[in-house]
Amino acid sequence: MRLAAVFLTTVLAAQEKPPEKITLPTAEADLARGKALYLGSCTYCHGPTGDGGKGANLARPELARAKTDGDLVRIIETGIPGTEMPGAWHMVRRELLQTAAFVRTLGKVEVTPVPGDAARGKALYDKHGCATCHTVKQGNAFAGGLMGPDLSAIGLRRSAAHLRESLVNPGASLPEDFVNTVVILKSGKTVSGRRLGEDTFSVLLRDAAGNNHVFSRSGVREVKRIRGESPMPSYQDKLSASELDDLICHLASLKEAQ
Amino acid sequence: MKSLAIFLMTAAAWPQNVPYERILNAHKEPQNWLTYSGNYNGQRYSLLNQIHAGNANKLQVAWVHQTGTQEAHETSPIVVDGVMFITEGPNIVKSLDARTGNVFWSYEKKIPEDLRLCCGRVNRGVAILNDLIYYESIDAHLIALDARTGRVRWDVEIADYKLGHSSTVAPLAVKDKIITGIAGGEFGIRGFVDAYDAKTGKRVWRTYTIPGPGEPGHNTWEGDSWKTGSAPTWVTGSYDPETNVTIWGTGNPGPDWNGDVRQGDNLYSDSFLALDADTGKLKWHFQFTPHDEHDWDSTQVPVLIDAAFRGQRKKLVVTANRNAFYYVLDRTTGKFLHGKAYVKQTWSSGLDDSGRQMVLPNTSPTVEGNLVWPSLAGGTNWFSPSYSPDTGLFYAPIKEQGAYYFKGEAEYKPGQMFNGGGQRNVPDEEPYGAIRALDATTGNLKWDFKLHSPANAGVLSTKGNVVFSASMQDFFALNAATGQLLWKFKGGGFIIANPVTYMVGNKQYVAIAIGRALFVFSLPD
Repeated sequence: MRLAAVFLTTVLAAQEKPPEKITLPTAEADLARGKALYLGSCTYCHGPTGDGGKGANLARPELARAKTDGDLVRIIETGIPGTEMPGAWHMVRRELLQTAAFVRTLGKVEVTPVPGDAARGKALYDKHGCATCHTVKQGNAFAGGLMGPDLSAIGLRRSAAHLRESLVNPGASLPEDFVNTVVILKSGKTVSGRRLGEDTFSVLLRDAAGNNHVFSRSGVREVKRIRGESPMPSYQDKLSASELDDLICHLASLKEAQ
Repeated sequence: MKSLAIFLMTAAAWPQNVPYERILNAHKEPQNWLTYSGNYNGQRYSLLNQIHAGNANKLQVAWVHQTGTQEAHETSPIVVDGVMFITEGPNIVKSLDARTGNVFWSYEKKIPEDLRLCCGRVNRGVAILNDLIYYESIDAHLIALDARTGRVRWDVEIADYKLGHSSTVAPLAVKDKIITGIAGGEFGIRGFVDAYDAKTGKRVWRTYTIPGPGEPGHNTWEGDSWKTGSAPTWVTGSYDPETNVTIWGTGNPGPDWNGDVRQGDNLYSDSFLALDADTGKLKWHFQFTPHDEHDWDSTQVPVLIDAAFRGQRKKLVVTANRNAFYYVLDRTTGKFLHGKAYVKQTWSSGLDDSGRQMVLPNTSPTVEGNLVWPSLAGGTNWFSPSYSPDTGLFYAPIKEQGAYYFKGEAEYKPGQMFNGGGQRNVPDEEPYGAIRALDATTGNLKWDFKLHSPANAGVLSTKGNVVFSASMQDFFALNAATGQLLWKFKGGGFIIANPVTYMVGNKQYVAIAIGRALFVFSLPD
């Protein structure tokens, strides 16, 4: 079978389904199987204990996008269009239910409050010019730059631990769209920025000033994807430990649904 | 008198009569594209040379047909005497003027709402024989349409869609029969190849791709697993008139990624089957991936070539298989002659003398995920390769990509997905593709034209020393001998189809489905 087509078909089919009432399994064997499935398919983004990382924090009693078990099963099955969450179309019905049941157990932990003060964190966000590169939705408008990821709902999508890592070591886990790309032209000129698109014959790039470039492959010597390195500086030495807590607290509070 | 002249002219444009002999001798009328691969030999090679390596850079759009459906288009047009026949997913067949793109007729098949498919509501094209167009619909019917009007002559069910059968393949017309394949490899069907009487639609023979009790090979399936072992036939086979054998590739065993429930080699999944075209009797088989657990269907078009192999003139069938290996077989016996990897692979230490894979340990899917190259999409896939007798090269559209393979539960329920696992992409891997020109008898790399992403479109080669193919939204032409880029065109939609070429009047055209449209190119006047 052809993978992309499968995903598309599954998504389309799922959109037509009416909401469903679901009873998740509770037997130990089902939860054990659900755990194995979770470890195979979900941990890369959500972490082995579900406290997030690249993916949303699942170790909480209520999941913003999956308030009901039916929603949870549907999201596991079809993914969330427009996000990095793919559908687990390879799972049969029982496996979807087992995985969902295990995901619910992840939420039965004491929620660790994020230390710090969100209001002070907001002030630090403004003071350090985070909005130069990042956007946050305010009311119906978006404010901020485009070089970094949109942070409007970052509190839903990233755990506090992951936010901390991103501030201290920004290159550790970059969303694919934001991996710094350097285009070295045959003329010797170099342009770096965010890759907007790339195909066999051209490379599209947005530089730090926000200018869009299109390069013909015939004029390009090399396209470098700089992994493990972010255009964002580390804030480890720029902020005190308590300031870092405040900023993380502020980011964790950003939950504007998009 | 005047009206009679017009009538005669019109009638002259409508012979639309393609007896078997015309398809058999398709090379004598290169202005037409009479069968899926252009010719029975599966080469997707044309003798036309008005467009050649010296002028291909002047190609421009002649016309575009917007389809009006939302499905991706995999159609490979048929062109007869200035008239083109295409399919559009999910359920449409059209006849167009091949010179202008004007539509003569459109046929729409009513399809059930509860159809379940693995991979999109696609179709790869029709067959023509005499005055009828043959179409396999997505709900697994074979339908004969009047070539002039699109009116249904007959409509027969190939198999029950409720059990997971579907059809996406272009049928193959041979003699007085229409040979058909079937899809449904992710639904636990039992695959087959059928032949129908071209005039009446009556089924003449059916050969199952999985042997039943008492037949040779049946014991390669554990217990009752043969009943749901899949091995579908979803890409058009080839035909060798000299031996009267039609060769079809078969798909993955089911369930795809969980081999525990089907111990054994699982014949004849992932194989080439050589069938007597009159009776369907199995003449020989060759299995590329015994006990496959990675969904490496072997449905690539079998390419029949006559060439010197180690100094001896041989009748060969060659293929770049989804499992990452290129194979050269004797097509009169099915005997393995030569094989080697043509893309990165990590699952086999190579081929033994009989052509059997020497599978490395710990390469099966696991619950936690096991990293193997190539990915389930394979080193290549369903879209056609091409062979040019001028260069002796086999042009393979390839994919360089690995995957984490997962094993899941496999529980058969009629009409439901039965795949037993899945795959995940490799983090930070930047998969890529290429058009790879291989020496057809050795598999040695002659040249390589790198593509930014894994290939998803077929290849056409021509007497004009040109190779046409596509990458993402770009359709392009390469020098067939050197791989040098001659021309490119951004079509603004993804290309997952096979190109064809034809001539009307004194002008050569090249056609390819791009996005939701059919684009046709020619040189300026």
